[in-house]
Amino acid sequence: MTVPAKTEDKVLALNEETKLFITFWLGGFLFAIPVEEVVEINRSLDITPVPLSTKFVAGIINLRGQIITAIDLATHIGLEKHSQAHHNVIIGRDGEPISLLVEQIGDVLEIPVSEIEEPPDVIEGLDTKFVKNVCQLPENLLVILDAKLLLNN
Amino acid sequence: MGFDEEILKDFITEAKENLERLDEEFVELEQRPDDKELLSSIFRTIHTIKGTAGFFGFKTLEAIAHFAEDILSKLRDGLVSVDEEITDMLLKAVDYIKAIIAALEETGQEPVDEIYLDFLVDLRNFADKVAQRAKGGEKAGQDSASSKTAEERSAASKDVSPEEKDASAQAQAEEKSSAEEKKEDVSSAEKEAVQKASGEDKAKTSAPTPKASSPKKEDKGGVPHVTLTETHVRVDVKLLDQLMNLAGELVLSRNRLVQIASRINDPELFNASQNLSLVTTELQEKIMKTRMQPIGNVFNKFPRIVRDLARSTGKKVNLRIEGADTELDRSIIEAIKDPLTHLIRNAIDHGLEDPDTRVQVGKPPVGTLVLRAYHEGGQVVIEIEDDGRGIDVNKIKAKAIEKGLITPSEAEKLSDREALALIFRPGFSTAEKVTNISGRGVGMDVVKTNVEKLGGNIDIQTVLGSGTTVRLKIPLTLAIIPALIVTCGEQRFAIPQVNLRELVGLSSEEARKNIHVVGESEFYRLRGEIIPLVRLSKILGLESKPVDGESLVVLNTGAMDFGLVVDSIWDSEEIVVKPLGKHFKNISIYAGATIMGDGKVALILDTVGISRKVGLKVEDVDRVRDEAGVAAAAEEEQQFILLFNVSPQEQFAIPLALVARLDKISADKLEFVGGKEIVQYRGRSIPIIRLENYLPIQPLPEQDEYHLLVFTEGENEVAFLVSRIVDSIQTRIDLDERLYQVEGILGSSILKEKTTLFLDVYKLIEMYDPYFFVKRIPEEGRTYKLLLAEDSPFFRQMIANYLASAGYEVETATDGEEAWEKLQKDQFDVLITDIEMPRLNGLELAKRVRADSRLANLPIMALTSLSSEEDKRKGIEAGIDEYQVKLERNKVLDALADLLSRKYAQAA
Repeated sequence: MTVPAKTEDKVLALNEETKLFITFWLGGFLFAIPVEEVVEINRSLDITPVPLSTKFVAGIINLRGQIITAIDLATHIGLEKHSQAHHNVIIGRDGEPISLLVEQIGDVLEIPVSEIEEPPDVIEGLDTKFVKNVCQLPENLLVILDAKLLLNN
Repeated sequence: MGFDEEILKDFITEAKENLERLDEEFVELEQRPDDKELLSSIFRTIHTIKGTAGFFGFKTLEAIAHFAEDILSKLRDGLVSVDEEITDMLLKAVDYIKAIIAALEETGQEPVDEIYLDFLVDLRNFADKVAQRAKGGEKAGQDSASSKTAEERSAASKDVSPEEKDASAQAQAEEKSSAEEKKEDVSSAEKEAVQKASGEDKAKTSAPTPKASSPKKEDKGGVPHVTLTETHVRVDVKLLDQLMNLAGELVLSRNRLVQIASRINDPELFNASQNLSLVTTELQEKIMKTRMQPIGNVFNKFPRIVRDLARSTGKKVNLRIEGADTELDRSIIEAIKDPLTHLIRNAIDHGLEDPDTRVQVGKPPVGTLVLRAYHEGGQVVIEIEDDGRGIDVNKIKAKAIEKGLITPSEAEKLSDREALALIFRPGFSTAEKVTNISGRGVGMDVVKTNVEKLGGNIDIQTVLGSGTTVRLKIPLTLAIIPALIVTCGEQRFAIPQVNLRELVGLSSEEARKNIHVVGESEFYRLRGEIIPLVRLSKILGLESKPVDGESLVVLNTGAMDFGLVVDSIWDSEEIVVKPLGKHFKNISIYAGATIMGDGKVALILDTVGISRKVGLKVEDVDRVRDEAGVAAAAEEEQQFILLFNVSPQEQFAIPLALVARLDKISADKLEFVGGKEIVQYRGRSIPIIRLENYLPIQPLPEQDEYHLLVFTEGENEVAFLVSRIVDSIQTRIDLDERLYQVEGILGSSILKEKTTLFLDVYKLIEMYDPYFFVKRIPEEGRTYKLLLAEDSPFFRQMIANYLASAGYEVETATDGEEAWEKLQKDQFDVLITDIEMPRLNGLELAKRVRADSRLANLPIMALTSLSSEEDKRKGIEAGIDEYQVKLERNKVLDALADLLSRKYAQAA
């Protein structure tokens, strides 16, 4: 997997306001969620499927004694193609946390606020409802997800 | 009483906390004498103590707090400012208050001692002085000498401006004139007043106290030095919940460790894990206790509600609360508030009559409503009992027909109990007019749902004209429950044990024969009962993967039984209930999730939710029962038989229906006390019967674990101790009586390719304890002679034995023809007959008896393996008086005694 360009660091001006993001790969996209929304990142956890639940719910997992809901993120945000997602990005610091299942965890990126843009109306192969912002990286488009919306939907 | 103590405890805890804070605040106050906020806070604390002391009638405490408050109010209003002397006095007051609180905590009463009264006088005088200072508008800072002589005071007052002179002179005069006598005069008057106020108990004990306390008295100015030790700590509820969670985790880890330990089989590890197990259990119980609250917290809201309701309905109600100190989990207390309120509203609105009506029917005009809570078998029972008009079952039926809930023909078939259950149907309300109290669309169905959500159940008992009792049974806690673990489609699920009735293996051909398919639905015949079958795999949309034959879990929803078909049954376990996230809120078939011993998650099934989802209806079952009734007759003699071993070589059998409970116990639970072997079981001691002591069989080998077959008769319990439960099968019993003619053995048969001895449970228990069974003949001093016609030797012996042990004289016949012959020759008081018999069946026999003029009045009772309405009707047509199921010994005996007293009371 390509590591997002290191050159970014050099570009950063000393006083420029930046934001930290956790990034991950899913269905060929590079997604990001603000660090402050993320509780923790976990490798493969045992998922217990819950029959009759909504399609985008993958099941429930045991996070150190707490039962949390695992979301099949790819289905939820309407990714057309994707492979097995085993990694857990757990979000929701206040209230009920959920786990987003992703294919691979990327780097933590520090991105200048000035480079964060409004999302386009359409992104091919993806439901833009959950996209909050985008950021054009040298090699990829970084899709920043709306964590609040994911938590409340 | 208990409830008052509870409030007192709360008051003391709160007061102690506040007093500790007061110490700090006073010290702060000296540094920041103008801090209004601080003064207000101190004032509030003292004020609260005063108020509560007044409520409890602690006069001394109230008086001290009152005068302290007096002083504080002057400070707060800025009339005087704080100085060292005032602070001293107030701190002293706090110390006295502490001393009284400490005494209250210890004895529940105020201490009786002169020093408190003396201090009270000092404080009162001081408060007066401060008041005067405030009145005089003197600069408090200058006059710090309030306790000094009047001369000094007058000297100080020279500086006062002329306008104020009047007032201050007046004050001086007062001061002066009283200066000398003050000590005696005021103080004696005060003392008297206070003594009067503090009640008779003081008067009683005041005589001996002065002597006892004389050393203290000398140190009059000194303060009783009391440090209040903390016996209660306030803890955040969240912290308790977390502790509870952690305890739950510990239980899971323990479960896992115990599993591993039993696999590894290392004695040291085993001991260690057992120790851990004990400590964990105790810890769990203790933590659970921290969440317990008295149910009074809810009950105490009702006197007001009842009063308001009584007023608005024009009824007179006397509410009696019992068992308010019964404790249960706080989450449950919260959850039962609304259902209880609804039930109380119902009781007053629908249950109790208005005073005029009550007087007319000869009841006191004031209705009684009892709210009662008590513990019973690990559950809390809450009863709402009124002495009102009771529920008219016919009215309910009429209403249900009117609302289209049932048809008139269905209504006819309903028993009273079933009819009462109609109240819980959605859309049912008996109030003829909708009142603003109970007819607001929230019906009993909601109450029932809420109670069931808590894992509880609700039951109504009513006597027309004399009252209704609604009984709620609720678990003590929701957090940790026993559950049965089953699998379906390679996934594990937990089923709360409270809903569990029994387990049935579906692996054998015979068991599968009991499955009936009607249309799209499946039903199961369980010992003559028809229950709907629900396949878990179908509900969940999983692929069923049974390992060796499916199993049937018979569950009870409160309204009905149904069978849940699962792939396999694992074990029963204590599980920790954890809530599911919001994504699952609309899936009613889950009650939560739990973490298993291996760390994986399993879903907890909601019995009521499942039955709702499938849309199970009691009517469907009735319909199938009628349809299947015809086929049933052929299987009449089929019985469920429990097979077990005492020693591994010999197999024994008894009808499963006779067993009250089956359980496993470890060997260390067995005790030998007073010449009897007993076992501790569910907090009780049950005597043990070792079968080898009564039968010529191989002895029970030493084992770590034994199985118990528990039998009950009224309050009496006894258990057979056996080594292994082999199976339970449904079969027709073909008994060979010739081989074994031993008391306690009915005969032998070949079951599962082994010669199996059928035991006579009643005889064996009687051999162990001749007084176990209660004699149930209807009348003393007369022996009733019975004729029993039964073709199956197994049933013939068994029934004859239990009839004989109940005190009857029993003669037997092997079929109807033989019975007829015996009836011709001999005189009998009652005929008990099987229906299906060779040569002459029970119905024909009954007809023949009724046709004979000499025997026309002979009471006849029929015994069958199953009883359907259709059979009963036919029986009654043939002249049979009573219809009972063979193995229901209690019912048979009760009905027989009833029948005999009815028949022979008439004749006499």
